[in-house]
Amino acid sequence: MALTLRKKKRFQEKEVKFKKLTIWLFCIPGAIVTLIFGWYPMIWALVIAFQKFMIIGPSKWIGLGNFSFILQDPMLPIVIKNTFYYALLSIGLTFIVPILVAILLMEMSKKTIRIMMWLWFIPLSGMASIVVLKWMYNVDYGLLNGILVSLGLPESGWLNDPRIAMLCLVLPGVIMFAPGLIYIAAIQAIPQELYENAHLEGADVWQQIWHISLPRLRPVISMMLILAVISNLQIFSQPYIMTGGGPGTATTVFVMEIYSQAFNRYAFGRASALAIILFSIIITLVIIQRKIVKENLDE
Amino acid sequence: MTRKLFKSVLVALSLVSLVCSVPAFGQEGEELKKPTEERPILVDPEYRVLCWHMGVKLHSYFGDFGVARNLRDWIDAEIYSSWSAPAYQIASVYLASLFEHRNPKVKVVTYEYAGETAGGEWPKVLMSRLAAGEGPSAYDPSIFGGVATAINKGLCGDITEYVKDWDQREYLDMKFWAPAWKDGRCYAIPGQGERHLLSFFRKDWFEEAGIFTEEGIAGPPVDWTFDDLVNIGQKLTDPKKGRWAFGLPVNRMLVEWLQNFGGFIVKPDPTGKYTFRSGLDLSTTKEFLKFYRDLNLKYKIVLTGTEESTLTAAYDFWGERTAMHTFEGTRHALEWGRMDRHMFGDKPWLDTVGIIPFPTGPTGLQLGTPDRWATWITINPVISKERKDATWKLIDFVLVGDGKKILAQDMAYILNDLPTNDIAPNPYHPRYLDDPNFTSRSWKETIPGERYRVIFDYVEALPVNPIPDFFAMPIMETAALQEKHRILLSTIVTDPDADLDAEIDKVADMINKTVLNYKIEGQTWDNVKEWATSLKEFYNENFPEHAKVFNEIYETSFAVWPE
Repeated sequence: MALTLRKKKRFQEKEVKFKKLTIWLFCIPGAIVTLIFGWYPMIWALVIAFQKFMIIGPSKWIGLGNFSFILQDPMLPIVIKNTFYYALLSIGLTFIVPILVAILLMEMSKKTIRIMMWLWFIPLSGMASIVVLKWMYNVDYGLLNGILVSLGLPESGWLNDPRIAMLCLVLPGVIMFAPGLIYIAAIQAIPQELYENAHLEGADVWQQIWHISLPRLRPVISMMLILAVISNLQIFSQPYIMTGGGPGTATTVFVMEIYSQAFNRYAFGRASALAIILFSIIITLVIIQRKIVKENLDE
Repeated sequence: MTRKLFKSVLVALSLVSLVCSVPAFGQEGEELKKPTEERPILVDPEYRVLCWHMGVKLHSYFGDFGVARNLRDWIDAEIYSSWSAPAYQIASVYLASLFEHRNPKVKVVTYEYAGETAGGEWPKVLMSRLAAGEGPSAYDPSIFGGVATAINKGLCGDITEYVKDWDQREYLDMKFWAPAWKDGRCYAIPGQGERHLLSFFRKDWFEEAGIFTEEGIAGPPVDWTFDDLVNIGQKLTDPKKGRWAFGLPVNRMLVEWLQNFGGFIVKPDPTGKYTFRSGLDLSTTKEFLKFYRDLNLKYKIVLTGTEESTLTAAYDFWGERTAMHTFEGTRHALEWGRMDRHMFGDKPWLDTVGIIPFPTGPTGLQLGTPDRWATWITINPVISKERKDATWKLIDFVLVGDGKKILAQDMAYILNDLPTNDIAPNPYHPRYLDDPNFTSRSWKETIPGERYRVIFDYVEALPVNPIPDFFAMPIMETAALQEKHRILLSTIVTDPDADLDAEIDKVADMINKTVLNYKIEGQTWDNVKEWATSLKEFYNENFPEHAKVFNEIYETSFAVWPE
């Protein structure tokens, strides 16, 4: 009996070991990819931020030289200001609007939901949309000014007007930013009985949204907010393609400056130093955000 | 699959052409006849302005073709080309075959780089390959923001040993070659693409607008001014028809126009602390920038904006939105002529497009404007000594050896700048055109019509302004400089509320602090003075009508010769 138990125990131990081994084996490919494409470039960037980096040949340690150059560069305050301006505009518009739209959409018929989701999905092919948008915004022969003129209204400078250029970049994001779909999926996962019970107890639509939908969406909203902050502070493709950072420096954002230092000036050390500054800004914001959200969740 | 098939066809064609062409190289077997004439010294080493003319169109070989080798049991070379024209490909394969034939240890492999070389992704692709210890054996390093920048970043091989005893060295003026030298070591040889830049215009639209020269030809007169440009532009612009005068790019300063205003993008630092300071605040440059701005905000004759680039300006022309295209090389005219390219419907392009030099500036200067984007050739620094030796041999073969003859003979597509070199000779290119073996047609023959010959003669007779050579000193990080100019240009052409002087000061300050914040070792104010004096003498002797203007510019802008 004892022997059987011992055997059984040994078998169980083996099974546990095998399971652990299996888990590790499954993790290895992912870990390798993460190490090579995630951690290695990050650590390497940290190293070259303190070097006068040579593409070929030995690089030279220059201590805080790259950071010192960047801090004296008049472009730094400009790109920080522009990046935060973009992020605030973008989060303000692309974060709140999709939540409201998603919640309201759920009140409509299933057919309408399906059509709306199609409409939402189609323009997600970002680059193609950006190219078309560039044409739409064209001052001289673009669609938008054409419409304004036909309505007898004055033409707008759109991307050429430094006062509204950034807004013009953000607006397409309201449609093209994917969270709307994620919220719809999250709302669909909320048990229907909750709404039915609330309805039976006399709750109107707004009360249902406030007391059921929004609290249930909170984890998704929290995660999406973190992702939105990270992605918006790293915005690149839209201003790069649509305005090249102009007019003047009106739409030059942080990552464009990193790109410019790296690929226009081949100053990889400076580009890495800039990337570290951006990383520090983002990580600080995320930590603050996590703290705030955590407190709310505990309430 | 298609590419493989295409390559196979190319290789087959090249072999056939190699076999067929052997007798064409003369009666002395496979060896080519050497030029009978002694090569004349074609460059006066005293004057940098002559050196400007010096380079042959090497860009065709090494800007668009990089040459690479991999050491195996023999030496391989790869020739990159972004040009998909079959004749171009055949030429490169053919060239490689003959070189291989002469150098049995060398294997030359050619293939196409499917991408844009001059801009676009090519610098990044090349840089990545070099960083990985690969890449072509020879390439143009100026794509990395200028040759001096490339040397500073370690992207050029040390070729001092090769140029030390090179028979072409005596023809190269150090004032021109200097940017490729650092601490007494040489890292590149010049490969200046010599060609004139021109404006192109729609003859049919000019005719429609009733704009004729005194001779009754639809188009602007060859000695037109910037005032004429504005007047003509106003007649041509009709937004209702979707027509504007031309596309005005903001991604780079039109230095070719600026020089006719007597302006400069940089000026030597008289204090000697730095090599250059920004030239944006010079009165002549400011005048040009005001004109640039007025073209859009006052006269409203151009298509421009923050997204307008030299490329989109060209698209505007070919897309039938603009009547003129402000600058393009003679190379284009020549190639279009050769290709008998049809544009704007079914007509050959010359039926619709006219060619004209740049307008005369308020200074009275109308200068010949060679393409200022100097190209260079360097050898990959990471390859082995054997490969470097073989690469140098191939470079010499292409530049001055029989390889050049091969390219010139049947594959005249590559030698599209030969005619301009004929006008402005260079040490790499003795007058092969006089050799009956060379049948390359000149651009004047290629582009028919008396009108064009008149214009080309006119353009060729214009004095060439050496200003883009930046006082015989290299500008580091030209791409960064352009980027700052973009900030200024995109502001002043779009924002009517922007204060021109304040914007100029802001960007000039940015440039001085972050781009021109260096001092080239050994550079003194005396060097600048010496260079300007040489120039003064050159103009006095060769173009006395322009000498006075130049002297005034140098004295007023820089006080080169103070009392």
